[in-house]
Amino acid sequence: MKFNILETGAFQSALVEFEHGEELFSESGAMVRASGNVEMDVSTRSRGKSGIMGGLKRMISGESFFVSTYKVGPGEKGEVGLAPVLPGEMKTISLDGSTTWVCSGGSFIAAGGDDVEMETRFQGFGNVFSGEGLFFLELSGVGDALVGGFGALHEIEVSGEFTLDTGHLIAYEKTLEYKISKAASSLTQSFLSGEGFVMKFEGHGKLIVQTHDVTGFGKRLGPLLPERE
Amino acid sequence: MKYRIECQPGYSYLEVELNPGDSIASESGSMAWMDPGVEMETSTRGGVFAGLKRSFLSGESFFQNTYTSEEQGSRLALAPGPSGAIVALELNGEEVFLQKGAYLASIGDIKIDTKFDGLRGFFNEGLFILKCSGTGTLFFNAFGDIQQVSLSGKNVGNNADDNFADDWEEAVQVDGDYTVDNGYAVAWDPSLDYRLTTGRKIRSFLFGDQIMLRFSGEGRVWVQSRSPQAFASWIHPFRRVKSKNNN
Repeated sequence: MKFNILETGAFQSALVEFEHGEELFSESGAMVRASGNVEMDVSTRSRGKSGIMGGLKRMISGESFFVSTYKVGPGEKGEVGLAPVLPGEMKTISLDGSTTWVCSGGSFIAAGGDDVEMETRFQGFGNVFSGEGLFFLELSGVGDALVGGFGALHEIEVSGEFTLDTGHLIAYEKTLEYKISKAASSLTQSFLSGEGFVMKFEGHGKLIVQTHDVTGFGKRLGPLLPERE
Repeated sequence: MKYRIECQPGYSYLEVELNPGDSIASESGSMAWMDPGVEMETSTRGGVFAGLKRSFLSGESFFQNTYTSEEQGSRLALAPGPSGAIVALELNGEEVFLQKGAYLASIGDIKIDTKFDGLRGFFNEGLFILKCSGTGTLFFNAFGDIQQVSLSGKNVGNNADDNFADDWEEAVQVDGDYTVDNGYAVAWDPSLDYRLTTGRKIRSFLFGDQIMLRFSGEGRVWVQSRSPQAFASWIHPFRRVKSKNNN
């Protein structure tokens, strides 16, 4: 399985080439195109345990309820094009079996390979107030994962401590831990600064961030549109 | 007439240099800037009926503008609504189908007509798609980057090659099937047959999964990298909710 990222800049998309026996799964709305021999199915989970509960949890995490899975027949090769909704970059994360990556809700696009596991993890109620989702997705095993964001994506090597505003997280290695905390020393200052809550990371590992906050964009545009019923 | 497509793919616009005798037709509202020598004429192009058909059935504008100039080298810039790539396609008596809203401009004798898409277009963007035919250069636009896909599944997009380690075939491959999500198909050759499908399994239909265009035959499909529909549904929850009391 090969993940190719097409183009540069704001409108990147991905083209995944794969063979029989390899399983690719994506967030259900992410497919742009596929070769004719690709068999698509929609399930609550690519395989294994989670079932309906996994679907529900994923839905709360900002992903769709369903996961699309793609397969090709014996001896065949297929390709699937994938894209995120908003203008922004995409990135592949390689899973080597030793690390676990945690994706924030909404940033997961697809994953595939020999043996990729996806789990939905409850993040605690602190996350709700902070604007991050209740659940994050955990990816482990061997293969590749594809994430997409709003704006440019940056990989940061964290060693020690690092502060990230909520809404900018794409994914992090599980060797890192985070706590939701207020941005400034006092609660009043945190809110006056407009930063509210931030994520304080600790440990050693990689962190992928997006330059722009999706919710910020939505809140800017939403009030300009006609009211919905 | 010289033309250039600048700022590909993210924020493409089309710039032309008009000399006496040249003319370019464009979707109304797409003019971004122009030299004082450029003259604009607005018409329904093809008559009132053609204009009506275009605006009501395919979502393009009722009026189209034609630009000419009496001076040498007058510059005119045309920019599409969505930010994304522009494709220049030479037509020599051939036809090409465009998705609703994709037409930007045309040079030469190119006729833009609407085509009834029949029942298969029922779930499509609109019931009608644009049929462009004639001889000249046709410009159409996309939301995001655009990739040309041949039906063997080989990507033959202009810029894509840079990012591929493999050797990709230059020529358009023929024969086969290819599936493109409804929101991403921008244009295709009329030699292709297509039908609407959902996933293979019935439940994907029941749970409102995406609708896809399944192409078969020989020809090219141009695919954009972002979907206007998906973007619109993303923004929807951010809209304010209408208050329920009727006072």
